[in-house]
Amino acid sequence: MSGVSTDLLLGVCLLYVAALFGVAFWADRRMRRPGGDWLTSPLVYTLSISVYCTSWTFYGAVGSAARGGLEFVAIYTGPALVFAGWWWMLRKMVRIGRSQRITSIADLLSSRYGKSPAIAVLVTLLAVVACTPYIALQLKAVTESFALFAVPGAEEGGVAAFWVAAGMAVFTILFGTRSPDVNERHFGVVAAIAVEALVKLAALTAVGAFVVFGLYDGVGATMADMTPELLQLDTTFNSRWAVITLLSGAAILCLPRQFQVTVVENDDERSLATASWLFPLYLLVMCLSVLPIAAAGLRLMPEGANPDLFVLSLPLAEGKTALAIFVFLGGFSSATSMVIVSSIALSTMVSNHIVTPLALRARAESEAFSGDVRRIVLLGRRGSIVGVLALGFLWHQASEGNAALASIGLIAFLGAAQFLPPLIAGLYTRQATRLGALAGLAGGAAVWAWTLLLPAAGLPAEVMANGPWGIGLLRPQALLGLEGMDPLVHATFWSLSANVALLTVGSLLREPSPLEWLQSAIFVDVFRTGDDDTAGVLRRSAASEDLFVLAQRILGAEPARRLFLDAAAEQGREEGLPAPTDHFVQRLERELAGSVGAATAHAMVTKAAGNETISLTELMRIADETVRIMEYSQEVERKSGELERALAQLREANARLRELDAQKDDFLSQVSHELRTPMTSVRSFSEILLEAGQMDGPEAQRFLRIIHDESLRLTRLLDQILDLSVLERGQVRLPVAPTDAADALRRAVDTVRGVTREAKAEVQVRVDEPELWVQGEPDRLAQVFINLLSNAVKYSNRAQPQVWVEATREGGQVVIAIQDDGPGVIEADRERIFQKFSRGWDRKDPGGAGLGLAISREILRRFGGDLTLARPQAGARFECRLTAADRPADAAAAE
Amino acid sequence: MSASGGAPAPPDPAAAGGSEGPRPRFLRRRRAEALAAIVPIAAFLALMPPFVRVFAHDGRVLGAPAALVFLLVLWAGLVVVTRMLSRRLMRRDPEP
Repeated sequence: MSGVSTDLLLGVCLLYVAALFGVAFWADRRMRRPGGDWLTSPLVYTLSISVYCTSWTFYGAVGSAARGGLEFVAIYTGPALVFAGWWWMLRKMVRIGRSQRITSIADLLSSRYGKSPAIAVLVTLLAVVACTPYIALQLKAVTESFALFAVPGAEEGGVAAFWVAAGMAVFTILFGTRSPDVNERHFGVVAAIAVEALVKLAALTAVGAFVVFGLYDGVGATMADMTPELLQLDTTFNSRWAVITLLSGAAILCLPRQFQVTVVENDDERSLATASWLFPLYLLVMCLSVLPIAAAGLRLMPEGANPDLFVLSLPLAEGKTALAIFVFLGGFSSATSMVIVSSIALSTMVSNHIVTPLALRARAESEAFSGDVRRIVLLGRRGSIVGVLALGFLWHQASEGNAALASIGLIAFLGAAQFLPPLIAGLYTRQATRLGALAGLAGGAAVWAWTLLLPAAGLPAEVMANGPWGIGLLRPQALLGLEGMDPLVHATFWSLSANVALLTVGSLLREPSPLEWLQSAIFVDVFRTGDDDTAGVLRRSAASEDLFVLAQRILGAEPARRLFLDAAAEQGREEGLPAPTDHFVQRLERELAGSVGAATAHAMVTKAAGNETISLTELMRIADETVRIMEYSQEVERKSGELERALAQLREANARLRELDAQKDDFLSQVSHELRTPMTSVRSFSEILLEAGQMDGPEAQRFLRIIHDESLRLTRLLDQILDLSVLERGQVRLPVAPTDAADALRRAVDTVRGVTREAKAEVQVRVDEPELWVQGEPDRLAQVFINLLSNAVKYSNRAQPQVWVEATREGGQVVIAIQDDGPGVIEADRERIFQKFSRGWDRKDPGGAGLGLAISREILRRFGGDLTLARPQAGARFECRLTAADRPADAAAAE
Repeated sequence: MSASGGAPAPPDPAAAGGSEGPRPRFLRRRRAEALAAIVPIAAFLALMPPFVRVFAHDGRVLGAPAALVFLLVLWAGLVVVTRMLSRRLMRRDPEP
């Protein structure tokens, strides 16, 4: 059937494997030297994630497309959607994986649920059971493709599978178990996988291109052959489509090998950001070739040809030997990369969670605290690799059946999907507990095995048809009588429902232990909890020597020495071992967890350091998210309060500015008002003098003197107004001396006589004593009285206003009251009228400026007195209160 | 007049300069985070029955089956949008 000899094929195969070893070896060496950073680049990371595309994709996708039309696409849309949503799920897993030094999916779940060894063991067992057929599937794909080439050795499938498995075991042990620290990245393995990712993509695309441009006549002709019968559009988009999308999305998170490359091998969250779009793109390109190959295979290949091998048989049938060998290598790549990474991931889980704890327990009984755990761990891991691959090989040999590639893959997917409920619950809620996770996992796994795994492995037809012991309700594909469903949909529904239900019930049944509660806080709040936040919760006392011995045994002498030196330096110690602080013990435990998993590390440290006591107060501080949220919201509240206050201050300042602006606008009219008072009296007196030409001498003289005095006061006032701002700022010192208030009052009454006469007002003055000595200054006092008097006349609305002036002595004070018979001051204006530039309380008054009252009060206060507004029966009554003073000795002389 | 004209003036430059300031960038980031959840969920819903059945017919777009074109466009769109979002999300320190 082909011109390819078995020897040539084997030769190419061996060369390719040698090249892979070379790449891995070179990458491992390269990373130890500077300049190898590109090996950690996002591109390499993304390519390593494509280990998702196994031979099941390479061969099986075409087979699936040939049988079920578009359905195969759902296997790839699920992962694409999960990666597109990386920010909310994968990022959290990667962050936790890095901060808690998680080594596997089993480690993640056990660590989240209180470092429970039971969960670790359960997850490990489930993973091994689910993945063994999957590994067998890869061996099957390789041997079948061998068989397609080598006509005489078709029955040598078993031999080929054995050598493939053995070769992969050697590769994995060489490059996958250099150190027990799983977090130390396997650069060699990752580089080899990245190369394989490129090979399989190129190979599949090459066949696709060959089909489209070689067999068909370009894209148009290919599309013309995409018949509805091929695509099976009527039946594709049903519940099975939804279930496969869900399962593939779960698989990209939960399959041990995907967890290994996505989380454990991750070095930088930025790589994840790139993979979020690059990996879906890779899948898209991978899928593009599938349908054309399937269509061409169905059209050209003979009836009964295995559609799973169209990718290879098409080029062979067309005589394209070179292309066929390339395709063979592509399939080989997809199979080997899956086997290598799966065996690393599974062996880590098996050795960390099963072999090492057992070995330690066996030893502990004879010789506590001795022996190199490192050796045990490495041996356990290598043994596990051999064991896992041997299991896969045995399964392959045992099931020489014809189960299609796709169905085996989906069985593994559903097995891994059992990790999804405890994973999501563990990452996003604090309430999920160990008991719930255990119950959910066990129940889900049991249902999965009964409804999907065992029927595929081969249950007796009797059981399938009538149920075990004739119990019809337990029929594997019609559980509780639920018949007529697709077996995969049926199994998915029952297993995940059982899982979720048991997880929920189990979690609510009992409260979590303090360690579980603490771990849940660390996981759920990973973006808010710093590493140091959890220090001080676990209190343990240990001797540093014991810890050092323990670390040496697990990490190796040199790394342990370095770790302890670091810690000692951090604690400020020049030499010697670091103090076994809680912080240090915790850090040590995390380092150990990177090698043997959280549960084992916890058990070992507990053994060395004694049982921890968990400080409840600290736990409350760390773990109580309500407190956390309250603190956070208080912070926000405080900040918004500050903002609000600043805003209020701004508003106030703004209002004040507007007010000042309005006052400034009034300023000129205010000033003219102030000037008008003396001007008015000057004018009145001069008019009297002009009109009454025959006025006798002394009277005219008195009027002239008043005019003169007023002009002088006017000048002084102008000066003062010019200095108004200075006065307002309190920079003007008024000369305060004993002054005769009665005299000032008489002068004021004289001054306003012109005004009063004009207004036909009557001013009644009653002064108790001829001299009333107060602290003050005569001109200013007169100014105050003039103001008040003219106000009294002005604001009275009577035809003949009455003004009463009283001067009395009240204890240490002299009170001069000026009262009118006007409308009075309304209650709301009582304070306002004293403000500078405020208008008169009578809003109808156009000219009133109100500066007078403000200045008057200011002046009196400077003198140590005050200006108040009393509450008389009628009218307005202003009272000037002044501090009484002693009569000066030279007063008589002055008079 | 001068005061009332001057009072609204200051907020204008503040708002204009604010687009460069921390607040709007913070809001933009929040939007990107929300989109990082909404986009895959929307794509998921678009892929699920009943919606996807809109394209499950014999109709053709540019000679290709409508369902194929739909899947291709949706997938390519998802890649492009995810790339834009991941770039925006990684522009600064991703810590909230």
